[in-house]
Amino acid sequence: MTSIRRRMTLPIMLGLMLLAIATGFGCYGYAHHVLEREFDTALEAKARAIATLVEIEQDKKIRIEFSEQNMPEFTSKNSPQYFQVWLPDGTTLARSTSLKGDNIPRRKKDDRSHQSYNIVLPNGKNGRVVQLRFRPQLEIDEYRPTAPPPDAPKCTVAVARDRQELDGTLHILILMIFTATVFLPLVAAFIVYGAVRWGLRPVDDMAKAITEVETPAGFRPLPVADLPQELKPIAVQLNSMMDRLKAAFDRERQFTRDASHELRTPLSEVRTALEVALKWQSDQELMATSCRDALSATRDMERLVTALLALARSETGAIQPQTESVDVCALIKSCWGRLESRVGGRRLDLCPGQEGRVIVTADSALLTAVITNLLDNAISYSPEGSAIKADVHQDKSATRVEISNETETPLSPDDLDDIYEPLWRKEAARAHAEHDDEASHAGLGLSLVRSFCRIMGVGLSAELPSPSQFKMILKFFHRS
Amino acid sequence: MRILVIEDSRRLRQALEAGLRRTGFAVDMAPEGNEGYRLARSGEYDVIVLDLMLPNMDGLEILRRLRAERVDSHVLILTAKDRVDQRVTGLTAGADDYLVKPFAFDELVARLHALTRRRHGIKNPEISIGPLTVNVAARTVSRDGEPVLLTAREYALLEYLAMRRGQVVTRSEIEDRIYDGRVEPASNVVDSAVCNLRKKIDASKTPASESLIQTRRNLGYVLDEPTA
Repeated sequence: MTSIRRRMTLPIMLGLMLLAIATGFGCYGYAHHVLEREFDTALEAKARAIATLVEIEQDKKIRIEFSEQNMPEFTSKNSPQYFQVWLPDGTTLARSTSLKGDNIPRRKKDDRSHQSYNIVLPNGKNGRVVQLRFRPQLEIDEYRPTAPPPDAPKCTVAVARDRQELDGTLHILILMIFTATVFLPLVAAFIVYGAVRWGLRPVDDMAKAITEVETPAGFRPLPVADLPQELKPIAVQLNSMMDRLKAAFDRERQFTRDASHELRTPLSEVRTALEVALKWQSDQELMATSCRDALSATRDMERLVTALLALARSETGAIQPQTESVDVCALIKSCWGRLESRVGGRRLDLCPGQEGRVIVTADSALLTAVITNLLDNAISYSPEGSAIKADVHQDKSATRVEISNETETPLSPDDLDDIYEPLWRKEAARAHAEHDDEASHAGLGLSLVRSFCRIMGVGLSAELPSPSQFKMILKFFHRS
Repeated sequence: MRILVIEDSRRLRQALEAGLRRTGFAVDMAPEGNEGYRLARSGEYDVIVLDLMLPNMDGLEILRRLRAERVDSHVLILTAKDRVDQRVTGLTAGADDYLVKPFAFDELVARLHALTRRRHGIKNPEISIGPLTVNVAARTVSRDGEPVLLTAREYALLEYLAMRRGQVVTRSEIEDRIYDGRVEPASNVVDSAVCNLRKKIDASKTPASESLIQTRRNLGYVLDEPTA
């Protein structure tokens, strides 16, 4: 399993380790170069000093005026220095007594004026040589040496000394760097581990808070203000998502309660009617009335259950719309005709001022259910003798179908948020049919309308032109 | 006993009315809250069967108003609301009983009888008047241990008189309690019912002066042992 902590810690530690190693090597290399250069500079200065002692006389003879008393370093018993001067022809002009007759290894073929290289000294120790090629000065006056002419032959001087001290310094340096290279990453690893752990603590806290949640009701919103910037969007979204989930759970629980509540009254009607009928079986009229009422109540329950199932199917995506062209005014008229028995003196003003057909693209069966539910609602909640209006408006983007009615029970703007909730009714007691030919209303009509409109991609909205007027609007968008 | 049923479901109202009347109750019906409240506040009912989800005025509001006005009719809430907190709310508001839909009709009747007995302060279900024993729980009548068969209305009349044993019960009270108040003025339906009842509960050939149901001229009737 991938771990953020591991993803952060390992690369950082490896990076630090490589950085430490690279830095160590870099430091060592630089220090080695600097120290050696200083060593060489000192040897070069010594070589130049010796070179100035070599003169070319007027008879073209080259000689050196060297005094060991002036340069006692070449006679020291402990770590003496060494020098040797060669004439242009390669013969030795002079050498230090410290060489004891040996020669300093000389690089002959290289014409560079300045060279430095490592050798093994006559005493067996490691040493370093600086070799110079130079033109001897011209002696005109003993006391005023003159710069050599450009065609003067070149001599070579080499100065050597042991590099034990230099090497010792370099060894100490490399030891220090090695130690730092080993321990620094270990210390860094410890620091990195602690820092990552501290840095990820808000993530750990969030994970712990989420893990403890067993139900949406048990979720306590994460405190966003104290969280790091990177976690705030996650916490905000999580809080919002859990709020929605909690609301959905609450709605589902409420729906289950409401549905069972809705079934209780028709069940009571059936049970009481049949119990009373069976108690007085000899009363034929009572028996007939009870059976009719029980049957009517059973039909109400059937309607409720059918509506609940339709709602469940529509919300689980089980319904696939079959789109076709539908004449919406003709459909409204047809649906109204099927509700004729419930109209009760109400009239339908259908598409006033509309001539010709109005065609929309929709699933015919679903649209029929939508229109029927809207008209059924309008009939149920409008006063007897009132007008229900069905209007159609068309523009470039959409065709709007508006079904409006007067309402006996005034609605408020707040109610428009609730009207689509399953089993919601403004007055809970309006569920029951007063007449045998009335269907009782369980408050599922607009829930089904909303669900079916979503499936068809039809816009749905509600308006209150006035407190006693209610309007439902269907919007069929024109597809380009 | 006189019952008021406030229930907006037409079918349930019809079934309850048919059953309760045949059981011997005098029953009035109200289909919505305002009318139910208007009838209930008269205080003439032994028990009010009250639905909670009513149009115009819900059941709990009716109950609270009745109790505030000191209407002492017993109230049995009949509702689909079954949660404990809802039952507690109903009983705390002043209801005497709570029955959840769907319910058994016999249970409703038994609870109504229990509330009626409570209204008349009767704890012992057996009321003895001389040789006559009326068991208001079992709804049986016996004389000297022998069962006496009565119609529902006759039993309702006898039960009402027995619950008010020793008290004068006026004709109008009997009309209200037993006949839903639906008696034509100057009708002798009460007298006729009392006469029929005497025939069944008195020993044969008992003179009127020695009947268990005594007439108080211009007042009404009293059920009691005849004074020697």
